[in-house]
Amino acid sequence: MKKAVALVLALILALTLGACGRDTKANTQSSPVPGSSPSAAGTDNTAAPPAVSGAPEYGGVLRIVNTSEGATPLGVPWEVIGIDVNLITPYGEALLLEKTSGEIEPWLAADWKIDTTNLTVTFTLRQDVKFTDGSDFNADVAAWNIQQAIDAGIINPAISGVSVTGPYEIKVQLDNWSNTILSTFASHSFSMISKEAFEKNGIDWARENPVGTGPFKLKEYVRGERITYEKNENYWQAGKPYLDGVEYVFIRDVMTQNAAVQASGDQGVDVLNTNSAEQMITLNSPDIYLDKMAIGPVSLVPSSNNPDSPLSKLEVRQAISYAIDRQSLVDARGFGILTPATQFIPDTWGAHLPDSYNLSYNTEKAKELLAQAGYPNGFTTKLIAMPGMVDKDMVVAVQSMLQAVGINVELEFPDSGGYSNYRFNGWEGMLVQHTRSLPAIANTFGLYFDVKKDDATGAYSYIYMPSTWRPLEELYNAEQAAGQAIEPDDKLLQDVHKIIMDNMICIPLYNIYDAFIIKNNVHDTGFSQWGAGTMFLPADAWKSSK
Amino acid sequence: MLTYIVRRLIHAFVVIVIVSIAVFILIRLLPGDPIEMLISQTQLTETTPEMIEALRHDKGLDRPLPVQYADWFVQMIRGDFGTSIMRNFDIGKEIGNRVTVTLMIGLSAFVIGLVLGPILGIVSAVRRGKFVDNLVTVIANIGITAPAFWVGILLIFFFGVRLKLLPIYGYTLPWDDFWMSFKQSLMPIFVTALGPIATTARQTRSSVLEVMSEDYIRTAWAKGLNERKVILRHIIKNSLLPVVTLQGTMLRMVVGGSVVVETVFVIPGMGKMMVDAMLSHDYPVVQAVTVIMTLVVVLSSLIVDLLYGWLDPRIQYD
Repeated sequence: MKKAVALVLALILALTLGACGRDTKANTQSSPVPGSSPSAAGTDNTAAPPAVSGAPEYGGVLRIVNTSEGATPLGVPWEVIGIDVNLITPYGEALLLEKTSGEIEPWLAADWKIDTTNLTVTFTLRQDVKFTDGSDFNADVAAWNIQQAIDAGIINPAISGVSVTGPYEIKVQLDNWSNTILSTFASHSFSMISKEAFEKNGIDWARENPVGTGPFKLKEYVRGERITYEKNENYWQAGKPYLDGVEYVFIRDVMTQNAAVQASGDQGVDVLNTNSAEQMITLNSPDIYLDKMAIGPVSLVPSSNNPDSPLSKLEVRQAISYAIDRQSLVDARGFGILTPATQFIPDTWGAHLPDSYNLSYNTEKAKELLAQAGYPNGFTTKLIAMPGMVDKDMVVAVQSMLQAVGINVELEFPDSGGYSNYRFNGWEGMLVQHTRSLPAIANTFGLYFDVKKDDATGAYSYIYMPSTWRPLEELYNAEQAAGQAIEPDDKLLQDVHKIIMDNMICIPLYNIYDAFIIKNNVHDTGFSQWGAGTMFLPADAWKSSK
Repeated sequence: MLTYIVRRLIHAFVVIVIVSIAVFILIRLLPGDPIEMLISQTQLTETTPEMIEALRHDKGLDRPLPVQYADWFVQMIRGDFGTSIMRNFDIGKEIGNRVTVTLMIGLSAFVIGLVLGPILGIVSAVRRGKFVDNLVTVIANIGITAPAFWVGILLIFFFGVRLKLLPIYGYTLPWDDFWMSFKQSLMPIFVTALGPIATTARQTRSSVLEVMSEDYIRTAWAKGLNERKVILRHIIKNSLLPVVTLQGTMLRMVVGGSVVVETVFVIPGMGKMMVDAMLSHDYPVVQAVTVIMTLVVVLSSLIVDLLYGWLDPRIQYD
């Protein structure tokens, strides 16, 4: 018996060690050269792909892990929502491109003119573009696509109409001016699809059969497993794409994601997009490089539901900020990747404020402020953590830091449905929310603060903060002014940011990153160079054979 | 017999109704609203209450709950499981695609468990106290206690990442590409079969040992019958009854276990469909998959009960 037990246990141990042991060679070698490319706003490449000489090579399939499954059919862009929008990238192209820096570049629109007096944007379209069904991309088709988005109510509400002003020219009419309006036209939600194919086959067919202008066309969609795109041989950019195909694989389990990245050949994947610092470090090896960009902090967002709650007092919110040792948080759980966040907008964006706005860790000051606010013995509140984006151990650490100054905290870790419910309808206590910084920072303020559920527009902002505090009204007005300026104005944007920080409307904790873990033989994806709307340029990506 | 089957089918229908009501209510008690989740999947969409209400109306979620349930149930009886809230697909059609995948993995694992489990159990019992018995016992205990996801991950790292022998994710149907299907199925089938093999081996061992201590077996040995005859003719048949009962449970585990295995190995089957639907509060998908799984459980119980009568003529159905 003993021999048998020993034998089996030895076998299991060997198998376990063999499977779980990390490659020491990989650990001891340094990553590729860091920071070799210029850092745009929000971009922070810690590693660059190995230098390759010569022209791009043709062939290969780029496999990208998507951590959740596509929720909607992909063929009708104005119906595609959320994370699925990035799945359109290989087949769909928008009028413009948006860089991480917020800079706008031409794409299917070769040029544009803005008339702020008459509130119009006139786009001049490329004339050499065809859809994969052979039909022509022209002004009529572009206007039809934009009108569908207007009718579906998903486009920027400032856009009231679109008209054809020439065979390859359209004019977009605005109700009111927004200096970030161009970024709207860089989103894949407004990718152009073939009007001819849509009208001939109907919307049900179109949902399952994308017909775009992009470098790839849909080959197969196996729900729950993968989406496979194949090369568009008649792509309008001569000589592109270089790849034979792009494949998105839906892998929810983190361990399987890691294994897929570590596997090679047909068993492996080429790109994994993650926000987990732990995963970035776990997968660090000489075979991959990390292309990452700052996407704003994880912040505490106090509820403004109740004007009489402790959280409604500025001193309390400041006390909470002073009570948090951000450096310890990132030392313990940042894996050398995360950084302390002292402002709502990180320092890679123009609206960042001077260091004097940073509130450093000071428990004595925190206790003093609590006493001033009338809570010398503290109070009880709740932290509700955003699922997926927030490190649970960090939340537990914040709980103990607040406990140290007398604030008792209950923790709640709802699933995404429960969390959405809080976001939309209000909460008690504080959300632990990733407050994303978008390329055009006015959009960030707009996302969180420009509309209120209880105001005349009746629209929702991303988080529901009723204006029971005076600073929220002030913030709303400043945000409107910043968004409606003729040109983006750093001074106005800083004014908005100042209101947030002066009033601790959000209490930043730590900065997180959107990282693309990429195999060394994959080149020119430029994931971190392009904003969330553009994602990447699949036509430029290629894989080297070595 | 026919009366018994009809009665059991009526019972099955009642069970399905009760389960469907329970699931219908329970999933709605979970915090979170699918419409809000649908909208909130993007941080970039500006939404008005009117848009939310229009979407809710479009998905039929603004009607009273009893009406929603009755509509859904009547449609389901007619074979129409409705449309996914989150993904807009025809649920019946999707289940049709996915059930094939789940059954290919699950039934293969079930058959392997059905064959290997009893063989290991019998060998273990007949060679009680010997090396083989100890080995089988240890392996069976590990098989029972090791979580499927852990075993799955271990196999992925060892055979997929290290040895590069097997694909680590995905599934191909055998009639599309037999060799790829075989390679992709090995690890998921092993993980799914491990529990049933272990449990069946343990149960068979106990059952065989019990039968071996019966007087009629001792008589058979005393009569000088050879070992093969005693085991095949007397021991196995008489020790199979509890093992058959267990197989009913195993069949349910095969369907239920697909939830973990399909998630780990990224297999587009019913289990993964269930997980994705649960996480996104896709009510009609969760309801449909639950009903199908309940149907499998109820029918497997019925088959097991019918097998009892065949194995033990003393059992009467009236």
